[in-house]
Amino acid sequence: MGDLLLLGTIFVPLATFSLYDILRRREYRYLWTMIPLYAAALALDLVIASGVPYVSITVLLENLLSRIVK
Amino acid sequence: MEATIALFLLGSSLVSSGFSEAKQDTWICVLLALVLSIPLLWVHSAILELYPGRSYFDNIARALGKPMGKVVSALLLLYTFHLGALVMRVFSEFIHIVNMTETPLIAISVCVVAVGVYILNNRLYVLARICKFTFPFLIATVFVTVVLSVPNMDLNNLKPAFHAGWRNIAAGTLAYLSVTYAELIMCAPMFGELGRGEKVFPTFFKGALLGFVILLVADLRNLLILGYSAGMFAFPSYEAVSVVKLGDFFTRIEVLIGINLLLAGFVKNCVMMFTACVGIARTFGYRDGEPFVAPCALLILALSVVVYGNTEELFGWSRYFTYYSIPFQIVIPVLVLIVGKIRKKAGRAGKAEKETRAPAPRESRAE
Repeated sequence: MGDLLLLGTIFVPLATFSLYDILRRREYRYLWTMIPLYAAALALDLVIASGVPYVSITVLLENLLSRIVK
Repeated sequence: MEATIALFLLGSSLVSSGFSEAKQDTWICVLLALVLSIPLLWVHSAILELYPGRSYFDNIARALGKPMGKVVSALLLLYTFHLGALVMRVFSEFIHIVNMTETPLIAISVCVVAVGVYILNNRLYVLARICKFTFPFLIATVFVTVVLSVPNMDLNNLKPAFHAGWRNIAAGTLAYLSVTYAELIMCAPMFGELGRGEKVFPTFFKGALLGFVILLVADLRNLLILGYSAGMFAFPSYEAVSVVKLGDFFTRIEVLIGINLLLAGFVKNCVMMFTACVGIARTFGYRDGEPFVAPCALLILALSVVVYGNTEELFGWSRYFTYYSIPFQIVIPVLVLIVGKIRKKAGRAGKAEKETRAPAPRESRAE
């Protein structure tokens, strides 16, 4: 819960201000890339905050590289 | 710009480096890595100058052709996000381990991201000015710590020289090259965005040289104070400086090392965020990268949490990092330059051939 609060503290204002700025400037085509980026960040934030056990990126890469590099 | 590059280079290396497989010969690795990084810096400069006036990612797309260029840009973008997450994690881990053990890692990263986004929203010039202003302070802190730690230094810690063997020195050099110098690829997109028309290579080299001098001095200080035991510590600079004291009244100057990391690490984080948002903008065909600062920073923040499961993984990853980063830092840029040069030459030759084949204009009948 603490993590969600911390991540929300930064996510909500940053997303709101930057999206508002884009809408105000009527540069809607930026939204095609901004929204997926925000969605990816939000999805990761939710995974972190929910406490679901996940395999870290480093472990995945280490497993991959250990097969190539002996 | 030189100060930005130097601070980027020092980023996390100033605090966490100082010992490698070469043990007491680590300073030789730092020196050799600089020599090896010169051709790499030239490669990045040459890519930027392939089509002057364009950004790094634009030049990659033009050098390789649009489809392949986009694929390579996307790969570099993934690498940027990953590296950005790694740097941010090292930054917050250092503060967490050394100073604020009760504070969650995310809270530390959130502060960095908030300030970074604020600075980058005001364009790159602000970051460059911050670097110009803070770089002398970093030099001063390294100088002060070296002078004050002279009584604790033991020259025997560097002996026997060249005893580690060339194999270990080569491994240490490769590690230094990939972790410290070759990461300068992330600074290359900054040149395209500043558009001052200055020569790229001299600026790049001057920045790298400035960073190298400070790094070498800091590494030698760590080795001379700690000797072999430098390898035991996660942050040798912090441990080395912690032994310094002047009488009973002037102690705990390791705080200066913390400030060094705050300055250099913060700049490195900001450069990573900037490269990520410029990369996104250029790869997806947008003119301006500024709207992507906030989403990129938030994504890097979230990735920095999931990039390592625990602190042990952070230190274990260094074994594989060299192999992981070489394709992005060396192979891709060199291939881009070679293909770009060939395509540029072929394009020019094709143009000249067309001009010679074109029929000569008819003479007028009146003559």
